[in-house]
Amino acid sequence: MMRVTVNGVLTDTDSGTVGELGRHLYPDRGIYVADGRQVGGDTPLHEGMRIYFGKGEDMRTAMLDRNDPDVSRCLSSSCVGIAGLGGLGSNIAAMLARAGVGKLIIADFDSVDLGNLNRQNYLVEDLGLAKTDATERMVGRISPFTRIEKHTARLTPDNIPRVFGGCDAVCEAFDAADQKAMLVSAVMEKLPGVPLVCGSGMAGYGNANSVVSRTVLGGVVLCGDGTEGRYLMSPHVNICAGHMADAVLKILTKKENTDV
Amino acid sequence: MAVWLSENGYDVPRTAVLLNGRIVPRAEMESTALKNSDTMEIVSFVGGG
Repeated sequence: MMRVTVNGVLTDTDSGTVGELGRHLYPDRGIYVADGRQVGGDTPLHEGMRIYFGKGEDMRTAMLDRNDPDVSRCLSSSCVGIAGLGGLGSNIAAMLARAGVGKLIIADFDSVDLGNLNRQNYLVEDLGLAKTDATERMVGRISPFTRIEKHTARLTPDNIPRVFGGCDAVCEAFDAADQKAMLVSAVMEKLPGVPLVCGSGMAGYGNANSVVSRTVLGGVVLCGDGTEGRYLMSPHVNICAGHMADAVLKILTKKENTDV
Repeated sequence: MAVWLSENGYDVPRTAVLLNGRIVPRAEMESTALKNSDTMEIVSFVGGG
């Protein structure tokens, strides 16, 4: 016998798995969310587990009914790669999850430290976690339907095609300028046809309208103010991340339009 | 190409270059020769993210 929380109610159970408990208490509900993540029915229960049993369509509809239904359908079948989970990538991941993108492939070798909290979408409780793990948790808390594929590794020209092959768009969200150039060159060379969205120049504050999106290199969307600066602050970085996430939505919905 | 970029004020590792419509792989930036009538688009990234 263990005690878990089911749809907000403390419940004692002898069930062994989430699915067994769900079939017993909510036989009509097929979506299982445990400790903030959507899980399969074979997931073992543990003491103190927080479980939500939902009707898939009800939850999805409730979350996405502010979107155009055609847009939601298109985004839910899309996969977006995010290279780097700092001030740009962690915020882009949250925005794309909220928008209803079906799958995110996230890559970063680093872990969350105190110097990240001024602009990156992490919490004190994330300190020390791999940024991939912290972002997976954050996305799961926003949208348990969003599938996450994690790569906790340094991206190189050699592994980029394997990591991001099959993406409908890739976001360059690195910190270092030489890494930005490396990723753009590698994606364009080795994954031709995969749309790229990049960030360059997002330091400072008080100049929000300086961030723009433009097309370079024959189709790459480049967002930012283009200006080097030492101090990165949350609003300006978020404005750039917003430009990038918006550009991704435009790319994904255009893809749908050309398919029809 | 790498020499031309350096001489014209670019920091080569921060640049991505489209040469005659084709991206130049980073490993080939040193060895790629430029000739008359080549068209280059150079994007120079600034750090931060």
